[in-house]
Amino acid sequence: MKYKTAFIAIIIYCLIVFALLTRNGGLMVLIVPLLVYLAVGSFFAPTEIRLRANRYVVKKADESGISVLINVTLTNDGKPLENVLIRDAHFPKTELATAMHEQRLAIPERGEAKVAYSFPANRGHFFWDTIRVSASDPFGLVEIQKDIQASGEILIEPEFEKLGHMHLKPKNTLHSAGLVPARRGGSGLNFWTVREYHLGDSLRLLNWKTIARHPRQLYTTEFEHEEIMEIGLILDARLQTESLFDGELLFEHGVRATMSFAELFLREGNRVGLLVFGQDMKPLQPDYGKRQLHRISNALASATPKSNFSLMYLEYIRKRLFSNRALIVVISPLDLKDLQTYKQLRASGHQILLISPDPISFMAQRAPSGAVLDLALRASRIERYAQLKQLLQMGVMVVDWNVHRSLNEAIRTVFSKRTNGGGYV
Amino acid sequence: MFENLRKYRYARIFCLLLSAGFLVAGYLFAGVWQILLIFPAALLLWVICKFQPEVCDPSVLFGGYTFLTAVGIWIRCEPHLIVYGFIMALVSWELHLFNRGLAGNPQYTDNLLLEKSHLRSLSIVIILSFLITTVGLSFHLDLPFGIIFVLVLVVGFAVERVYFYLFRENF
Repeated sequence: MKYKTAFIAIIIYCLIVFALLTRNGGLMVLIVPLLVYLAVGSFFAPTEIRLRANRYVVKKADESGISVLINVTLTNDGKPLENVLIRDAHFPKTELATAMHEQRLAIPERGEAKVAYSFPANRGHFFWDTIRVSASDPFGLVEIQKDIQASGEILIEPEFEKLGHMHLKPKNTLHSAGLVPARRGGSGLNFWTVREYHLGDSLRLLNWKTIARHPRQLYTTEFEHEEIMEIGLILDARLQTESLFDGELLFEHGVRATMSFAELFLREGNRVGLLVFGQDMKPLQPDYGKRQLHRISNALASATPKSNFSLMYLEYIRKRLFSNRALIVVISPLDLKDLQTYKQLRASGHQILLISPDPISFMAQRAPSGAVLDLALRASRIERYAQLKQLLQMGVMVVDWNVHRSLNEAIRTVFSKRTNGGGYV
Repeated sequence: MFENLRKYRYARIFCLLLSAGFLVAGYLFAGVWQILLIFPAALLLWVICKFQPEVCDPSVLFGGYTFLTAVGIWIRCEPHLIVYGFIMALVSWELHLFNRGLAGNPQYTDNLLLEKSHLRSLSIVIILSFLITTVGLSFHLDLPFGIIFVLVLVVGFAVERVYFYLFRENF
């Protein structure tokens, strides 16, 4: 817009200089159409913008995915605006799907104008405060701008996979009834031990086979007590561990996995905390219930990978956030420098479960095949398996997750009743 | 929407051809037949624009046209034709920018008011420009250079003040 005026001004001054240099009055006539053009433009220029705006933000889900529809209705309470450019803030990460966030239109006196556009969004917290309106003359020479209040907000929660029960056997539990075996006798479903009968034991629990072998003695069957546990979810949001391929981030799979675990653990009544470990640390104190799930969902919706160098700092944050009894579930593609941190965490008494979205299979799935690439992939796989093996030796439970397969399938293989927890595939 | 944009496109091409015709006629009346080279040059430019559209910025073309117009008046070609051609070139440039600003705008169909106001303003510019330039070209005043210089300074200062008033946010 403004460049038009500047361009006309430059031409006018060039013609004046040329006319003076050549002492040719005829050249001055050429300035007349340009001056008329400017004069007409400034004559029809608006003096003020009196608009009201209402914004409606709706989430729409279809086969192609989730998209956010935005409708802004502008009502003109002032004089007619003949050339209005409306610009709405859009999010650089998102690719605009339909229409535009920037539209040119005219709004008559007491008239209404509607601006509608949409963009695809898998997850995120989107909010708008104002909408920028630039009104100008029909030629776009004189422009006035105003930010009109038009607030709106929408939260697109990350998707999750409904996971089946995981047969975890943590060393420490919280003393409240739950579904996790507590490694001590009590009320439960799994057999724990047989002990001598104490006064007050239920007669239903008498172990008749043992009594038959030991006459004049009574024995009671004891079951393994089931309690809840404290879980610390740590999502690795460091940029250096991320893989971007064909516009798809491995991080998105990590977010999905974190959300799935949060839903599973909270559904089973456990106490769950979250730390999004990137440049901006986003700790969420451990808590129970649906509200905590909503908090986790909010935190994950706006999580983005950013640069941070090492998991080293995790040691300091962990102490403040999770108790030593907590089971730490780390969702990370794994970096070579992280092994030391896992060692420290193990030394401080934590049980660790590493869910590692496999970056190699993620890249290999879509990469063009070739002899060199095959060799490179093979070498990378060997290196990764060596790292995972080291972690296993430290006592870290590892799930190497090929993101193109279901997470449920991956954890079912590792934590089935048969493997009794703590394996690696 | 496309119908309206097509109308604008035809109007722009019509103005462009008219401006080229006026310019060529103005030069030919003065016996400068070399201006006919403008046609192969235009053809070459069209071919270049096909492959590299960023070269063909309408403002650059309008700047080039203004240069040819100024040279034409300086070498004493027919001033009426040259000036009328310049007015049509200005209109063509404006129509091109307007058309480009609206291309792909989904609100365009509901926006006859914008189109009408633009055409109204453009008509005013054409009529006033034709009138003032025709009247201006019929007067011949011989003033000393000093007076012309002072007048130019006054006009320049006035234009600068008007700019400052209108576009003070830009300064």
